[in-house]
Amino acid sequence: MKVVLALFLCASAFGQVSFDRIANADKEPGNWLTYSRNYQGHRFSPLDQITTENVKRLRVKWAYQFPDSTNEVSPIVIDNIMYVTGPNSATALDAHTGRILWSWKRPLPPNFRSIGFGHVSRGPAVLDDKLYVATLDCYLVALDIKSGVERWSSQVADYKVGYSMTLAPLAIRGKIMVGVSGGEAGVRGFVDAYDANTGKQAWRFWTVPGPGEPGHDSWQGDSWKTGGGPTWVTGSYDPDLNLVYWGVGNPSPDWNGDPRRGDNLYTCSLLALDADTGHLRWYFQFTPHDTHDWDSTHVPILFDAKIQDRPRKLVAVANRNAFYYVLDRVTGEFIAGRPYAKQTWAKGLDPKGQPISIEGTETTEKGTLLYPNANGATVWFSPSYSPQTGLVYVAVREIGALYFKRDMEYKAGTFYAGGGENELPVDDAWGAIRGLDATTGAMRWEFKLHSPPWAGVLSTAGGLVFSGSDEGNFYALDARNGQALWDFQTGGAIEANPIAFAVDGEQRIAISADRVLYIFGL
Amino acid sequence: MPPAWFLTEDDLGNVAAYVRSLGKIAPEPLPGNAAHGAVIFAKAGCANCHIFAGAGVGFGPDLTKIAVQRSPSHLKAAIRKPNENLPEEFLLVAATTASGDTIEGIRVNEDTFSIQIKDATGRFHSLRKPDLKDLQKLRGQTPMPAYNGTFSDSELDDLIAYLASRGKP
Repeated sequence: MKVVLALFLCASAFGQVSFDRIANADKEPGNWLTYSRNYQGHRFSPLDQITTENVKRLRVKWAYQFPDSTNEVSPIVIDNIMYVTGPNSATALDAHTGRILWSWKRPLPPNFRSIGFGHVSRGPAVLDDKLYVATLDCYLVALDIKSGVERWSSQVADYKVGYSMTLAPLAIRGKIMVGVSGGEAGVRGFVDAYDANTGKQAWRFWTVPGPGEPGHDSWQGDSWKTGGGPTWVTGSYDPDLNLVYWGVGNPSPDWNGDPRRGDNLYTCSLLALDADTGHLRWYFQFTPHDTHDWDSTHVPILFDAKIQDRPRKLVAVANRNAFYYVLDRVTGEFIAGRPYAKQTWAKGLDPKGQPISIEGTETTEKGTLLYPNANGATVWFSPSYSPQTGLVYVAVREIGALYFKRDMEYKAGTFYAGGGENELPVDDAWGAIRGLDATTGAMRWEFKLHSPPWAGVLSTAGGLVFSGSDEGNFYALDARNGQALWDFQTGGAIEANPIAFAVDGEQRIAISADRVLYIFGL
Repeated sequence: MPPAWFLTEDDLGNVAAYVRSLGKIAPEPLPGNAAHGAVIFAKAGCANCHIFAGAGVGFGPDLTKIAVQRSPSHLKAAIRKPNENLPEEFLLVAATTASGDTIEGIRVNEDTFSIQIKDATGRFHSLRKPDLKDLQKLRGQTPMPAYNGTFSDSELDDLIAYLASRGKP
């Protein structure tokens, strides 16, 4: 009887990841069921076997070599099986050993061009019995989770005009959501939702409003048609409010704002969208009329805290423009904000959270020296929020650049950026992991890095913060004070987000470094 | 090299045309006497820090092809005032260990947790940064002496003619 029951449990658990399981992620600390582990975008693991005391004993348990270099994947782990993605590919791995269980690959069209980004995939999504993959040539593909066989495939947009997808989809109740890249190709951005079972489009929200829509007057002439506003990083979700929070990227052309006078809504903004209809509940624009490529494409962190003794539902964003923001996530009201990295473009924020820009900081023909550089004070890689410490951990880039603008005509499917930047010399740039008070952004501690990082941050209930460096260091810090407790040289640049999971109850930490996925355990 | 995804077809053509134009800079004459230059090279002890045509100590940059890579005027300036003409990635560092020893040399690699240094004997030191008492980055400094005033202009011509001979004066 026991054997039969065990088999039944195994079969029911395997491949059936309901919405409720994901929404209650904390009930399954050993699994990692969505991009940031929970819908709130925390990238925090409740696992506490690896601690500040024993982390020194961490060692490699297995490694997996990807077929392609430079992997940015954040894996999904369900009941001892790990799912990873690469460019137009997905693979299921035995989480005990790293051995391949199945692989799926879709050939890239020969005329596909990456305009402004690498050939990467940041991870899959899972819902019920399907794994969802967003492809570079802009298809959302549903795979049978047990075999990797395609169930359906829906074209999201036409890659030939510059659209692409590098992000992990977001699976919520009955729907799969995706956003697009293409901010350097003059696309018109959007957030899409698809029926999880059929692949039929449920709704689309255009991030650049068309004629007659609110916000359209923030664009000059026909500039909205090529206005950018890509949506290339996975959003967060509040199941109680049924609101999806999604960041919007830069206006196009990136560095020349002359052809697109105005605030250029909803570029460089955070959107709160009704998950059922895609209707805009509120928006908050961080960088109006951006001319520095400061996409607001970050994982929004949803948390609740008391502000002046009143419990509030909040959303926090450490923005590419070097300011940290706290907003009311019901209304979008600005609560707090301050710089968390060196910036030389704004005097500060006004009472509504809008930047008080410094004159002469727009890009010029000759070049304008400014902090941060175009990759920003942080960028797509994830922050982490620990409910234990109340801190938001951000991987910070301290680097400036000489920005310049150029005249450029739009031609579909080609680079449309109107300028560029010259970064400062390598030795003048550095990086850090910073622990920020979640409600104010005040820095509590800092761990300095040799160079600006490209890796996200994981925090755990073991009191640890994990991240990686561009020189290949994977390391653990004390979440309370930033003290380095352990490090490992992986041999490849780390440009990915770490995760934590359990194999048969034993905690593991995973990180991709260039073309190798490392799994660590005690 | 990072991919130049931001360049249009026109930009690529312009960059290629510029690179081609670089080869059209008129070569500088080499008036020196290479045989005499070999004597100066030996007398100055250049091989104590540099490998040239297979001989010497591998501490400073390899000089075997230096006269192909750099113009005579640049080489003269670098010999006279080496600290004003440092290679882009060159950095002299001084690390003080927990026991108080100081290791000075060229940084050959560095990350957040470790630094690798080559000292004047060519020996490598691998050091954990958290264990160091002090780590000084001696920007603008070099272990190479300045020969400004040591050699006459014609002696420098001879030395550069010797470097251009790749060891076969």
